[in-house]
Amino acid sequence: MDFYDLARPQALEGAVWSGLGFKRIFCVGKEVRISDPGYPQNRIGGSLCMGVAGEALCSAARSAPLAVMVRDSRIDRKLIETLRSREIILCVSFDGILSSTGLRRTSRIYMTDKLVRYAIKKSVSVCFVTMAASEEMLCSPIQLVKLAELVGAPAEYARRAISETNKGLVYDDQD
Amino acid sequence: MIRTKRRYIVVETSAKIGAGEREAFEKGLYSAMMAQIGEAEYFKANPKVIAFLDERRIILKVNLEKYDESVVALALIKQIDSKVMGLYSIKSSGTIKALGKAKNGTEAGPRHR
Repeated sequence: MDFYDLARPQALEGAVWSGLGFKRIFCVGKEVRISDPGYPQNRIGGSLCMGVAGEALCSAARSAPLAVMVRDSRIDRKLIETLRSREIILCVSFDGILSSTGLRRTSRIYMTDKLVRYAIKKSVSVCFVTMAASEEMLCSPIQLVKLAELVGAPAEYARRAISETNKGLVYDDQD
Repeated sequence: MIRTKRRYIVVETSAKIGAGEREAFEKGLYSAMMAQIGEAEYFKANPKVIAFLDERRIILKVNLEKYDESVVALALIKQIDSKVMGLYSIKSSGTIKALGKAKNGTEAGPRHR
């Protein structure tokens, strides 16, 4: 099984990422285009749309993005329903969990767990990425699977998400 | 007597560990893992560095019972002994022999139990 991740360019500057066991780590801004709910409709299409839960993100989800990331991990039932009906991926990033400490980290794990469990229950495709901003924030595939399990994904679902669903984050992947 | 099942993990670090820093690294790793796993549960994981393969790779032994928690703990640790570093679980196995390929650097694929 081949595994894929998504990280920021700074995390891929060194050579550490190449030995972790991923087939490929997609780079933000290169293989995966990032958009904001405030962008015009044509710029959201085919991108990973990142925003906080609310009407703006929900309406952006109707502009055919490849995936949506809810920054604050709050459950928006309307958004989840839109993702399900339009077969849009819900992208869960671990950068908030990995970069925080103590109670803030626990709170983020709790919020992510609730969101992931709800999305899986509603048959939304969920993918898990590190979105690492530095080498230290990267994870190996084994760790990424265990982190996905920590936030409520079943083991087999987590493995499939990190291989097949993560690959789907690239719009015109030639691989 | 009940035999405790172990799991051996090849852990790679983002920063180099010099020969003189190994002891401090080991102590720092145990403290950091205790902080992540929790004092009451730490003894169930019983992590132990059994070998330094090179400047960037170690073999860590943990009890199978707390394998999942140990892998998550390693992912969450970002600082050891006031040195910023990431720890990556490259490969794991129930025997050291099976880690052979990863030890030699010929294979680093993920393995799941």
